Amino acid sequence: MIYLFSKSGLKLLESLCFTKTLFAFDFDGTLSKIVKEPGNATISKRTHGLLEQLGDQVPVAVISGRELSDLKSRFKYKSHLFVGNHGLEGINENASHQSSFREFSEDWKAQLETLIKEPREGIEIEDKIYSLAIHYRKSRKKKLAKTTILECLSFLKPSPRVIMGKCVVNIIPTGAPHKGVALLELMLKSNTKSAFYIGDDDTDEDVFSLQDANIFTVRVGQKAVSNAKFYIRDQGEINHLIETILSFLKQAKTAEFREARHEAFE
Amino acid sequence: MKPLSNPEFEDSMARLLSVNLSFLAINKALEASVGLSIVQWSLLQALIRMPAVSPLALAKTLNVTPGTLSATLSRLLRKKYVFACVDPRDSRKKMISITREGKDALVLTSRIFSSIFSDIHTVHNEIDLIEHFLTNNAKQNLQKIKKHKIPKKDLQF
Repeated sequence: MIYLFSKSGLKLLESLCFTKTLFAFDFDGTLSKIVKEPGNATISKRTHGLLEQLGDQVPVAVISGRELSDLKSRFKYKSHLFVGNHGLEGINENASHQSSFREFSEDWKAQLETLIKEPREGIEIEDKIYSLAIHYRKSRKKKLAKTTILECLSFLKPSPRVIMGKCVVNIIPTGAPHKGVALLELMLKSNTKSAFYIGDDDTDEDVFSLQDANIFTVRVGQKAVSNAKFYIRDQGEINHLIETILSFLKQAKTAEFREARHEAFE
Repeated sequence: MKPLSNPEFEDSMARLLSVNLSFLAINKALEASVGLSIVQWSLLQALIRMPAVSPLALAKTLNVTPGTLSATLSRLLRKKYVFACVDPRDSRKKMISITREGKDALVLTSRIFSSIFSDIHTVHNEIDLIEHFLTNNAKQNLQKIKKHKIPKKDLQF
Protein backbone atom coordinates (compact mmCIF):
# COMPACT_ATOMS: atom_id res chain seq x y z
CA MET A 1 0.00 0.00 0.00
CA ILE A 2 1.13 3.55 -0.70
CA TYR A 3 0.67 6.29 1.85
CA LEU A 4 -1.94 8.57 0.30
CA PHE A 5 -0.19 11.78 1.34
CA SER A 6 3.08 10.72 -0.29
CA LYS A 7 4.14 12.43 -3.54
CA SER A 8 2.79 9.55 -5.67
CA GLY A 9 -0.43 9.29 -3.73
CA LEU A 10 -1.15 13.00 -4.00
CA LYS A 11 -0.45 13.10 -7.73
CA LEU A 12 -2.80 10.19 -8.31
CA LEU A 13 -5.44 11.73 -6.05
CA GLU A 14 -5.17 15.01 -7.93
CA SER A 15 -5.68 13.24 -11.27
CA LEU A 16 -9.02 11.95 -9.95
CA CYS A 17 -10.14 15.56 -9.62
CA PHE A 18 -9.63 16.20 -13.34
CA THR A 19 -12.57 14.01 -14.28
CA LYS A 20 -16.02 13.35 -12.87
CA THR A 21 -15.42 11.08 -9.88
CA LEU A 22 -17.68 9.68 -7.20
CA PHE A 23 -16.18 10.18 -3.73
CA ALA A 24 -17.48 7.52 -1.36
CA PHE A 25 -16.83 7.05 2.33
CA ASP A 26 -17.43 4.40 4.93
CA PHE A 27 -18.91 5.77 8.16
CA ASP A 28 -17.75 4.12 11.39
CA GLY A 29 -14.01 4.40 11.77
CA THR A 30 -13.71 6.56 8.67
CA LEU A 31 -15.92 9.64 8.81
CA SER A 32 -16.54 9.08 12.51
CA LYS A 33 -14.32 7.65 15.22
CA ILE A 34 -14.97 4.16 16.51
CA VAL A 35 -16.84 4.45 19.81
CA LYS A 36 -17.86 1.96 22.46
CA GLU A 37 -21.55 2.62 22.07
CA PRO A 38 -22.53 2.51 18.33
CA GLY A 39 -25.38 4.89 19.04
CA ASN A 40 -22.91 7.56 20.10
CA ALA A 41 -20.95 7.66 16.84
CA THR A 42 -21.00 11.11 15.29
CA ILE A 43 -19.00 12.96 12.71
CA SER A 44 -17.35 16.17 13.83
CA LYS A 45 -18.75 19.54 12.77
CA ARG A 46 -15.59 20.17 10.79
CA THR A 47 -15.89 16.88 8.88
CA HIS A 48 -19.56 17.50 8.28
CA GLY A 49 -18.87 20.96 6.89
CA LEU A 50 -16.08 19.73 4.62
CA LEU A 51 -18.24 16.91 3.31
CA GLU A 52 -21.00 19.38 2.57
CA GLN A 53 -18.58 21.57 0.59
CA LEU A 54 -17.43 18.50 -1.30
CA GLY A 55 -21.00 17.43 -2.01
CA ASP A 56 -21.68 20.85 -3.57
CA GLN A 57 -19.08 20.11 -6.23
CA VAL A 58 -18.94 16.36 -6.86
CA PRO A 59 -21.11 13.29 -6.19
CA VAL A 60 -20.53 12.09 -2.62
CA ALA A 61 -21.72 8.81 -1.15
CA VAL A 62 -21.64 7.21 2.28
CA ILE A 63 -21.68 3.41 2.29
CA SER A 64 -22.07 1.88 5.71
CA GLY A 65 -22.95 -1.27 7.56
CA ARG A 66 -25.46 0.69 9.61
CA GLU A 67 -29.16 0.57 8.94
CA LEU A 68 -30.03 3.18 6.32
CA SER A 69 -32.35 5.24 8.50
CA ASP A 70 -29.76 5.24 11.29
CA LEU A 71 -27.05 6.36 8.85
CA LYS A 72 -29.10 9.19 7.31
CA SER A 73 -30.05 10.49 10.74
CA ARG A 74 -26.40 11.33 11.41
CA PHE A 75 -26.17 13.80 8.53
CA LYS A 76 -27.84 17.17 8.16
CA TYR A 77 -26.80 17.43 4.50
CA LYS A 78 -29.24 15.20 2.62
CA SER A 79 -27.90 15.48 -0.92
CA HIS A 80 -25.29 12.79 -0.48
CA LEU A 81 -26.01 9.28 -1.71
CA PHE A 82 -26.52 6.89 1.21
CA VAL A 83 -26.26 3.13 1.23
CA GLY A 84 -26.81 1.14 4.41
CA ASN A 85 -26.60 -2.41 5.65
CA HIS A 86 -23.39 -3.17 3.70
CA GLY A 87 -25.17 -2.56 0.39
CA LEU A 88 -28.54 -4.10 1.23
CA GLU A 89 -30.36 -0.79 1.57
CA GLY A 90 -30.43 2.39 -0.47
CA ILE A 91 -29.67 1.16 -3.96
CA ASN A 92 -31.66 -1.05 -6.36
CA GLU A 93 -33.74 -2.46 -3.56
CA ASN A 94 -35.65 -5.56 -4.51
CA ALA A 95 -38.72 -6.02 -2.31
CA SER A 96 -38.85 -9.81 -2.51
CA HIS A 97 -35.11 -10.17 -1.84
CA GLN A 98 -35.35 -7.80 1.08
CA SER A 99 -38.24 -9.77 2.47
CA SER A 100 -36.07 -12.93 2.37
CA PHE A 101 -33.16 -11.09 3.96
CA ARG A 102 -35.44 -9.89 6.75
CA GLU A 103 -36.67 -13.44 7.38
CA PHE A 104 -33.11 -14.81 7.49
CA SER A 105 -32.06 -12.14 9.97
CA GLU A 106 -35.04 -12.75 12.23
CA ASP A 107 -34.37 -16.47 12.13
CA TRP A 108 -30.66 -16.08 12.90
CA LYS A 109 -31.38 -13.72 15.73
CA ALA A 110 -33.71 -16.27 17.30
CA GLN A 111 -31.10 -19.01 16.88
CA LEU A 112 -28.33 -16.86 18.32
CA GLU A 113 -30.39 -15.87 21.36
CA THR A 114 -30.45 -19.60 22.18
CA LEU A 115 -26.90 -20.45 21.12
CA ILE A 116 -24.94 -17.64 22.78
CA LYS A 117 -25.08 -18.54 26.43
CA GLU A 118 -21.91 -18.05 28.50
CA PRO A 119 -20.08 -15.79 28.53
CA ARG A 120 -22.76 -13.39 27.39
CA GLU A 121 -21.33 -10.38 29.16
CA GLY A 122 -20.33 -7.65 26.72
CA ILE A 123 -21.92 -9.38 23.71
CA GLU A 124 -24.78 -7.50 22.06
CA ILE A 125 -26.78 -8.48 19.01
CA GLU A 126 -27.77 -5.50 16.88
CA ASP A 127 -30.77 -6.16 14.66
CA LYS A 128 -30.39 -4.19 11.44
CA ILE A 129 -33.51 -5.73 9.91
CA TYR A 130 -31.74 -7.20 6.86
CA SER A 131 -28.57 -8.23 8.66
CA LEU A 132 -27.17 -8.62 12.17
CA ALA A 133 -24.14 -7.23 13.90
CA ILE A 134 -22.80 -8.92 17.02
CA HIS A 135 -20.79 -6.42 19.06
CA TYR A 136 -18.28 -7.48 21.67
CA ARG A 137 -16.42 -4.23 22.23
CA LYS A 138 -17.71 -3.98 25.77
CA SER A 139 -16.58 -7.48 26.67
CA ARG A 140 -13.66 -7.69 29.07
CA LYS A 141 -12.57 -10.95 27.47
CA LYS A 142 -12.68 -9.98 23.81
CA LYS A 143 -10.80 -13.00 22.47
CA LEU A 144 -13.10 -15.41 24.26
CA ALA A 145 -16.17 -13.44 23.20
CA LYS A 146 -15.05 -13.54 19.55
CA THR A 147 -14.37 -17.28 19.68
CA THR A 148 -17.74 -17.91 21.30
CA ILE A 149 -19.55 -15.88 18.66
CA LEU A 150 -17.78 -17.61 15.76
CA GLU A 151 -18.49 -21.02 17.21
CA CYS A 152 -22.19 -20.20 17.50
CA LEU A 153 -22.30 -18.89 13.95
CA SER A 154 -21.15 -22.26 12.65
CA PHE A 155 -24.47 -23.72 13.83
CA LEU A 156 -26.67 -21.20 12.06
CA LYS A 157 -29.01 -22.45 9.37
CA PRO A 158 -28.87 -21.35 6.61
CA SER A 159 -25.20 -20.40 6.80
CA PRO A 160 -24.67 -16.67 6.65
CA ARG A 161 -21.86 -14.71 5.18
CA VAL A 162 -19.66 -13.53 8.04
CA ILE A 163 -17.64 -10.34 7.81
CA MET A 164 -15.38 -9.38 10.66
CA GLY A 165 -15.23 -5.78 11.78
CA LYS A 166 -13.57 -4.00 14.67
CA CYS A 167 -14.94 -5.81 17.72
CA VAL A 168 -18.01 -6.70 15.70
CA VAL A 169 -19.07 -9.71 13.67
CA ASN A 170 -21.42 -8.91 10.79
CA ILE A 171 -23.84 -11.55 9.56
CA ILE A 172 -25.21 -11.01 6.10
CA PRO A 173 -27.39 -13.23 3.89
CA THR A 174 -25.31 -15.22 1.40
CA GLY A 175 -25.65 -13.86 -2.11
CA ALA A 176 -26.80 -10.44 -0.90
CA PRO A 177 -25.24 -7.34 -2.43
CA HIS A 178 -22.17 -6.02 -0.67
CA LYS A 179 -20.36 -2.70 -0.50
CA GLY A 180 -18.49 -3.38 -3.74
CA VAL A 181 -21.72 -3.95 -5.66
CA ALA A 182 -23.19 -0.86 -4.02
CA LEU A 183 -20.28 1.29 -5.17
CA LEU A 184 -20.60 0.06 -8.75
CA GLU A 185 -24.34 0.79 -8.70
CA LEU A 186 -23.68 4.26 -7.29
CA MET A 187 -21.19 4.94 -10.08
CA LEU A 188 -23.91 4.11 -12.61
CA LYS A 189 -26.44 6.22 -10.77
CA SER A 190 -24.10 9.24 -10.57
CA ASN A 191 -22.89 8.74 -14.14
CA THR A 192 -19.24 8.57 -13.12
CA LYS A 193 -16.57 6.32 -14.57
CA SER A 194 -14.11 6.80 -11.69
CA ALA A 195 -14.58 6.42 -7.97
CA PHE A 196 -12.69 7.06 -4.77
CA TYR A 197 -13.51 4.91 -1.76
CA ILE A 198 -12.14 4.99 1.78
CA GLY A 199 -12.95 2.55 4.56
CA ASP A 200 -11.36 1.15 7.65
CA ASP A 201 -12.08 -2.53 8.05
CA ASP A 202 -12.74 -5.92 6.55
CA THR A 203 -16.26 -5.02 5.45
CA ASP A 204 -14.64 -2.57 3.05
CA GLU A 205 -12.48 -5.25 1.45
CA ASP A 206 -15.42 -6.02 -0.88
CA VAL A 207 -14.73 -2.60 -2.40
CA PHE A 208 -10.96 -2.86 -2.20
CA SER A 209 -11.10 -6.17 -4.08
CA LEU A 210 -12.96 -4.75 -7.08
CA GLN A 211 -10.84 -5.24 -10.18
CA ASP A 212 -11.99 -2.01 -11.83
CA ALA A 213 -8.83 0.07 -12.31
CA ASN A 214 -10.90 3.26 -12.17
CA ILE A 215 -11.64 2.71 -8.48
CA PHE A 216 -9.16 4.38 -6.19
CA THR A 217 -9.16 2.56 -2.86
CA VAL A 218 -7.88 3.81 0.48
CA ARG A 219 -7.78 2.09 3.85
CA VAL A 220 -7.78 3.90 7.17
CA GLY A 221 -4.73 2.42 8.83
CA GLN A 222 -2.07 0.43 7.06
CA LYS A 223 -2.69 -3.30 6.87
CA ALA A 224 -0.43 -5.76 5.08
CA VAL A 225 -3.17 -8.08 3.83
CA SER A 226 -5.57 -5.42 2.57
CA ASN A 227 -6.45 -5.10 -1.12
CA ALA A 228 -6.62 -1.32 -0.84
CA LYS A 229 -4.03 0.50 -2.91
CA PHE A 230 -3.48 3.41 -0.53
CA TYR A 231 -3.80 4.17 3.15
CA ILE A 232 -4.05 7.07 5.54
CA ARG A 233 -2.51 6.65 8.98
CA ASP A 234 -5.67 6.92 11.04
CA GLN A 235 -9.16 8.42 11.20
CA GLY A 236 -7.62 11.68 12.39
CA GLU A 237 -6.41 12.36 8.84
CA ILE A 238 -9.89 12.33 7.32
CA ASN A 239 -10.32 16.12 7.47
CA HIS A 240 -6.94 16.66 5.86
CA LEU A 241 -7.99 14.23 3.11
CA ILE A 242 -11.23 16.06 2.33
CA GLU A 243 -9.45 19.44 2.49
CA THR A 244 -6.85 18.14 0.02
CA ILE A 245 -9.53 16.95 -2.40
CA LEU A 246 -11.29 20.32 -2.13
CA SER A 247 -8.03 22.11 -2.81
CA PHE A 248 -7.39 20.02 -5.94
CA LEU A 249 -10.93 20.64 -7.18
CA LYS A 250 -10.53 24.35 -6.60
CA GLN A 251 -7.26 24.44 -8.56
CA ALA A 252 -8.80 22.48 -11.40
CA LYS A 253 -11.78 24.86 -11.50
CA THR A 254 -9.53 27.96 -11.39
CA ALA A 255 -7.58 26.70 -14.42
CA GLU A 256 -10.82 26.03 -16.30
CA PHE A 257 -12.15 29.48 -15.41
CA ARG A 258 -8.93 31.13 -16.63
CA GLU A 259 -9.21 29.18 -19.88
CA ALA A 260 -12.87 30.08 -20.37
CA ARG A 261 -12.12 33.75 -19.68
CA HIS A 262 -9.27 33.66 -22.18
CA GLU A 263 -11.60 32.21 -24.83
CA ALA A 264 -14.26 34.81 -24.09
CA PHE A 265 -11.84 37.66 -24.69
CA GLU A 266 -10.38 36.29 -27.94
CA MET B 1 -8.72 -9.15 -55.67
CA LYS B 2 -8.85 -7.09 -58.83
CA PRO B 3 -5.36 -6.32 -59.98
CA LEU B 4 -4.39 -2.72 -60.83
CA SER B 5 -2.08 -1.93 -63.71
CA ASN B 6 1.40 -1.25 -62.48
CA PRO B 7 1.41 2.54 -63.01
CA GLU B 8 -2.00 2.90 -61.31
CA PHE B 9 -0.88 0.74 -58.43
CA GLU B 10 2.39 2.61 -57.95
CA ASP B 11 0.61 5.94 -58.09
CA SER B 12 -1.95 4.88 -55.46
CA MET B 13 0.73 3.51 -53.16
CA ALA B 14 2.70 6.75 -53.52
CA ARG B 15 -0.38 8.73 -52.50
CA LEU B 16 -0.95 6.51 -49.51
CA LEU B 17 2.64 6.98 -48.46
CA SER B 18 2.27 10.72 -48.93
CA VAL B 19 -0.70 10.79 -46.55
CA ASN B 20 1.32 8.92 -43.96
CA LEU B 21 4.33 11.22 -44.39
CA SER B 22 2.14 14.32 -44.21
CA PHE B 23 0.61 13.09 -40.99
CA LEU B 24 4.04 12.40 -39.51
CA ALA B 25 5.29 15.81 -40.62
CA ILE B 26 2.39 17.72 -39.13
CA ASN B 27 2.66 15.67 -35.95
CA LYS B 28 6.29 16.67 -35.65
CA ALA B 29 5.57 20.31 -36.47
CA LEU B 30 2.78 20.47 -33.90
CA GLU B 31 4.96 19.05 -31.18
CA ALA B 32 7.73 21.54 -32.02
CA SER B 33 5.45 24.62 -32.09
CA VAL B 34 2.52 23.78 -29.85
CA GLY B 35 4.16 21.33 -27.47
CA LEU B 36 2.06 18.26 -28.23
CA SER B 37 1.62 16.09 -31.29
CA ILE B 38 -1.79 14.70 -32.27
CA VAL B 39 -0.75 11.30 -30.92
CA GLN B 40 0.34 12.75 -27.59
CA TRP B 41 -2.77 14.90 -27.38
CA SER B 42 -4.98 11.84 -28.00
CA LEU B 43 -3.20 9.92 -25.28
CA LEU B 44 -3.68 12.74 -22.76
CA GLN B 45 -7.35 13.03 -23.77
CA ALA B 46 -7.82 9.36 -22.92
CA LEU B 47 -5.73 9.57 -19.77
CA ILE B 48 -7.64 12.48 -18.24
CA ARG B 49 -10.74 10.27 -18.21
CA MET B 50 -8.87 7.24 -16.81
CA PRO B 51 -6.86 8.19 -13.73
CA ALA B 52 -4.35 5.66 -12.37
CA VAL B 53 -4.75 3.37 -15.38
CA SER B 54 -2.38 0.58 -16.41
CA PRO B 55 -0.48 1.00 -19.71
CA LEU B 56 -2.17 -2.17 -20.99
CA ALA B 57 -5.67 -0.85 -20.30
CA LEU B 58 -4.74 2.48 -21.88
CA ALA B 59 -3.40 0.76 -25.00
CA LYS B 60 -6.64 -1.23 -25.29
CA THR B 61 -8.72 1.93 -25.02
CA LEU B 62 -6.66 3.66 -27.71
CA ASN B 63 -6.65 0.52 -29.85
CA VAL B 64 -2.87 0.44 -30.14
CA THR B 65 -0.25 -2.08 -29.08
CA PRO B 66 1.55 -1.50 -25.77
CA GLY B 67 4.77 -1.11 -27.74
CA THR B 68 3.32 1.75 -29.79
CA LEU B 69 2.10 3.43 -26.65
CA SER B 70 5.43 3.05 -24.92
CA ALA B 71 7.32 5.56 -27.10
CA THR B 72 4.62 8.22 -26.72
CA LEU B 73 4.37 7.63 -22.99
CA SER B 74 8.12 8.03 -22.60
CA ARG B 75 8.01 11.42 -24.28
CA LEU B 76 5.14 12.55 -22.09
CA LEU B 77 6.91 11.30 -18.97
CA ARG B 78 9.98 13.34 -19.92
CA LYS B 79 7.80 16.42 -20.33
CA LYS B 80 6.26 15.63 -16.92
CA TYR B 81 2.79 15.62 -18.46
CA VAL B 82 2.16 12.14 -17.15
CA PHE B 83 3.23 10.41 -14.02
CA ALA B 84 3.92 6.71 -13.43
CA CYS B 85 4.25 4.71 -10.27
CA VAL B 86 4.23 1.06 -9.27
CA ASP B 87 0.80 -0.49 -8.71
CA PRO B 88 0.69 -1.22 -4.96
CA ARG B 89 -1.39 -4.34 -5.64
CA ASP B 90 1.04 -5.78 -8.14
CA SER B 91 4.63 -4.57 -8.22
CA ARG B 92 5.03 -5.91 -11.77
CA LYS B 93 2.49 -3.38 -13.03
CA LYS B 94 2.46 0.38 -13.31
CA MET B 95 -0.21 3.04 -12.91
CA ILE B 96 -0.24 6.07 -15.18
CA SER B 97 -1.97 9.38 -14.52
CA ILE B 98 -2.00 12.78 -16.09
CA THR B 99 -0.28 15.50 -14.04
CA ARG B 100 -1.52 19.02 -13.44
CA GLU B 101 1.01 20.26 -16.02
CA GLY B 102 -0.30 17.69 -18.47
CA LYS B 103 -3.86 18.74 -17.88
CA ASP B 104 -2.98 22.41 -18.40
CA ALA B 105 -1.07 21.56 -21.60
CA LEU B 106 -4.02 19.49 -22.81
CA VAL B 107 -6.50 22.32 -22.23
CA LEU B 108 -4.28 24.85 -23.99
CA THR B 109 -3.46 22.52 -26.89
CA SER B 110 -7.10 21.58 -27.39
CA ARG B 111 -7.88 25.24 -27.93
CA ILE B 112 -5.04 25.60 -30.44
CA PHE B 113 -5.89 22.36 -32.25
CA SER B 114 -9.50 23.38 -32.64
CA SER B 115 -8.23 26.50 -34.47
CA ILE B 116 -5.68 24.67 -36.60
CA PHE B 117 -8.08 21.89 -37.53
CA SER B 118 -11.22 24.01 -37.61
CA ASP B 119 -12.15 22.64 -41.07
CA ILE B 120 -11.52 19.00 -40.27
CA HIS B 121 -15.21 18.23 -40.43
CA THR B 122 -15.10 18.95 -44.20
CA VAL B 123 -12.88 15.92 -44.77
CA HIS B 124 -14.58 13.50 -42.38
CA ASN B 125 -15.80 11.30 -45.22
CA GLU B 126 -12.38 11.13 -46.88
CA ILE B 127 -10.72 10.23 -43.58
CA ASP B 128 -13.35 7.55 -43.02
CA LEU B 129 -12.74 6.11 -46.47
CA ILE B 130 -8.97 5.91 -45.99
CA GLU B 131 -9.35 4.39 -42.55
CA HIS B 132 -11.90 1.90 -43.83
CA PHE B 133 -9.62 0.95 -46.69
CA LEU B 134 -6.63 0.35 -44.44
CA THR B 135 -8.36 -1.40 -41.57
CA ASN B 136 -10.80 -3.44 -43.66
CA ASN B 137 -9.83 -3.98 -47.28
CA ALA B 138 -6.06 -4.04 -46.99
CA LYS B 139 -6.08 -5.90 -43.70
CA GLN B 140 -8.58 -8.49 -44.95
CA ASN B 141 -6.53 -9.12 -48.07
CA LEU B 142 -3.45 -9.57 -45.91
CA GLN B 143 -5.33 -12.02 -43.70
CA LYS B 144 -6.36 -14.04 -46.76
CA ILE B 145 -2.77 -14.31 -47.90
CA LYS B 146 -1.65 -15.38 -44.45
CA LYS B 147 -4.55 -17.82 -44.09
CA HIS B 148 -3.92 -19.63 -47.34
CA LYS B 149 -0.20 -19.53 -46.64
CA ILE B 150 0.55 -18.58 -50.21
CA PRO B 151 4.31 -18.36 -50.68
CA LYS B 152 5.29 -14.83 -51.63
CA LYS B 153 6.85 -16.04 -54.87
CA ASP B 154 3.54 -17.56 -55.95
CA LEU B 155 1.40 -14.50 -55.39
CA GLN B 156 -0.22 -13.74 -58.77
CA PHE B 157 -1.87 -10.54 -59.89
